[in-house]
Amino acid sequence: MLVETVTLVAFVLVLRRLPPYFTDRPLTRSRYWRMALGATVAAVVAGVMLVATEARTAVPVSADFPEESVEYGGGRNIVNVTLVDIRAWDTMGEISVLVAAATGVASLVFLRTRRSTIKLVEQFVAPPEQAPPTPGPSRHVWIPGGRTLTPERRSIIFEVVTRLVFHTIVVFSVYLLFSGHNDPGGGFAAGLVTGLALVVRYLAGGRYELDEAAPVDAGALMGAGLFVAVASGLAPLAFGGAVLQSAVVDLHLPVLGDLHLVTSLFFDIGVYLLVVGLVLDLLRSLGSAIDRQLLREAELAAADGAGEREVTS
Amino acid sequence: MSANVALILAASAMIGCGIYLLLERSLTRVLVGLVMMSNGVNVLFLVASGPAGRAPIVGRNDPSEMSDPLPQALVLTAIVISLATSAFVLAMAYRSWQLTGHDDVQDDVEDRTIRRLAETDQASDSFDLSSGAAEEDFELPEEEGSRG
Repeated sequence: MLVETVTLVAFVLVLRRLPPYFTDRPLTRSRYWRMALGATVAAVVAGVMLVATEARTAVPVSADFPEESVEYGGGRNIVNVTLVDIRAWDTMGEISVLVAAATGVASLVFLRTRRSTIKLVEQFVAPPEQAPPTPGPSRHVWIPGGRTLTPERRSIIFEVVTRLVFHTIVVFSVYLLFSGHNDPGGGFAAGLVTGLALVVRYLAGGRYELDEAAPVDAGALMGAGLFVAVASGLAPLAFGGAVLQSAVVDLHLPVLGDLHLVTSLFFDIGVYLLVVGLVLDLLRSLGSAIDRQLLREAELAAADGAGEREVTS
Repeated sequence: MSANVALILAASAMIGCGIYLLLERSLTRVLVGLVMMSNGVNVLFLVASGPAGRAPIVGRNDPSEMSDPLPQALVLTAIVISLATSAFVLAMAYRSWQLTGHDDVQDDVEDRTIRRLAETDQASDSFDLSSGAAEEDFELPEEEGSRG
């Protein structure tokens, strides 16, 4: 699954800064209470689900979804039409939650502001002990951010593979975005695939490489996504429709052929932008910012060590 | 409609373990508990959607053979939200580690003091210091409107 991969990356990025072991805690009586509570809840859940599924007699509410999704939603992928049309309010609430959570993560890590943190490779200043291998940014490297890493952290195989794969992944994600209405895909999947492409760039080339790959503010990207989604939801009001209603437009373009455009595609584009912004924000905050804090701590420790040596000598 | 007992058992085990971990002090355990609980609830959606069927895409499969599309859409919403939630708890654990050196949830000492005072129906020490102006208001209630 795509989401699990993103979660795993976020976990690993944070785990490098957390204590290596779980804290010990005494085996007190309250722990047995908690065990008992957990077991009780598990038993209740199992019982309720057994009884509820056996007692179900009504026809599922989704029995008519196949017809409706083709007739009103204009798409054949029922799950995607459900997300962007039949139950679009769910998705609207969900993307709002995503923006709130990403803002929370950013404010917990950056503390003051997350603006002006985008630094391109040209602005990289090599530390004095590491001589720059190439005099300037040259076109003949696999990825531009590689030279900002120390030699022992670079992997040439990873860099080459990243270079070869990155654009294919992005194109594939755009295909998923546009084909999602009729085939497997959709805004979420497409956004996560693009996000994974950014993850690969970050892992291969560090934080400068990430800013080279996506030189935009993650907050602006998420805001743009939310704006597009809300605007596409409100647009039908201007034509006398209901909020989040979608219309089907069939065009015949001279070269491309027949175009089957459903307006809920714009809602999906908003979701796509927002998910890309979310992954980018997680990488910036949990990846780049923690990198920078680690570097600053190492510099401080080195300066302290040098000062102490001078004092003792 | 027959229930899938294996899925129910797996989901209830995950939810039980999730609740046990959620009641811990350390935020890392809370996070693992949250992830387990949300996965357990997602499995319950699978139980509610009935027996597994073909992919719900019109034109590829017959509607009578398709699995229920509604729980799939709900699960898709839920897993993305659980990603955002776990990222937030991760950031909280990181910040707590940065500030205190561990990721345990702190006792709210002030809150505990206030609760003890409330139980014994006492005023706090600082109340007398800071409430001089308020006492004047109590003595001269007719001036309250002109001041406020």
